[in-house]
Amino acid sequence: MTAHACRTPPSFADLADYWTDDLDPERSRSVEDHLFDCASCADRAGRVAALVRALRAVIPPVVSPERLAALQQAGVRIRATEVQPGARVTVAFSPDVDLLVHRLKADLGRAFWVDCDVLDASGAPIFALEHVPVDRDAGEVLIACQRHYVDQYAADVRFRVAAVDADGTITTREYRVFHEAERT
Amino acid sequence: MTERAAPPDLPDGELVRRIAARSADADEAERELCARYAARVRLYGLRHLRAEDAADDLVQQVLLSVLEAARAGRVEEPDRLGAFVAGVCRFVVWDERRAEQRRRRLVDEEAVLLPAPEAGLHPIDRRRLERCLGHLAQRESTVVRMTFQEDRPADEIARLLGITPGNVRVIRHRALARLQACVENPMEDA
Repeated sequence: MTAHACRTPPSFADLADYWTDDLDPERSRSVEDHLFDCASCADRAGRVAALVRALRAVIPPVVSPERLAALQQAGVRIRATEVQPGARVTVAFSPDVDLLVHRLKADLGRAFWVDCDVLDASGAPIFALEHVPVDRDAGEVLIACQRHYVDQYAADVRFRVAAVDADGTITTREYRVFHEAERT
Repeated sequence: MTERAAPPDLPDGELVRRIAARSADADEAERELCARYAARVRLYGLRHLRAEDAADDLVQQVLLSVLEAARAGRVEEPDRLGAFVAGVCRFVVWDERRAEQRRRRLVDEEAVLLPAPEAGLHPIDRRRLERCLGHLAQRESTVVRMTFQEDRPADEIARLLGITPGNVRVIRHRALARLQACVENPMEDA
């Protein structure tokens, strides 16, 4: 069986659910049994596994306080800068920093959910993030700015944070962060 | 003395029978069996133990147990070796969880036979993956972020986004398929 083409391959959806722990136990066991019996499907499953594991390792542009703490715990060197609504701050990477964190301050106590748009200096959208994690207690949205973003995006970046209350009221706040060239 | 080539085209059952019979090419059959199943056992380990080093340890333990069984003629259905290996994996993980110990002595004694831990996953270029993520539709991107970076289950994502858990899965399948095509084929637009 090992060397032959598979006649009953699990679907991509099954493999994706298997690797995201979203397959019922019976189906999960059946997929697993098949993978042990079929080299070509095991290879397909390995490609999905690699993708899923790589996705789990990605640092998203907005992080939760728990993820930030985990990054610190893992030895990532972080420089955090507090940014008040309407303010413009300047930040820079230096050799002793792996990650810049912009702490966008806002009263989020009543927010049902929070969206965050990232814009260039002219207001043109770079990307938009819906339902971002927030630190309600500290009242902030944590932007994780990685070193390679500096080459990827404009130096002068605006963040528009929209907090949506349970009654549908939307409160929008803007922040501006200028990324200087790396300091040595 | 000439070195015999491994028998890669032999069916699993024949490998097991040669090992059990201590035939002249039994060592090659053992190596081929290990090479054939190492990646599959490691995948199982990654899925159930989560950590790379634990998965690597599992490969060593399971393959040693399978070889011992094959040598002793204890593989009752040699032609269904995959099912036997799966059973050993499940037992070892269950036993490990219970005992929290590794049988390092056996691993140290026989490690020379076993394949190196690289029998593993296809490497993924992180920058390439980030670019591919940028090509997803917003809802796909949100579901991917909530699933893999915020570790939220489908039910919770569904509640937050006002859609059904089934929708979440469909969006996630579509996003993963697009991401896989994008990272594996740089010429393909995500």
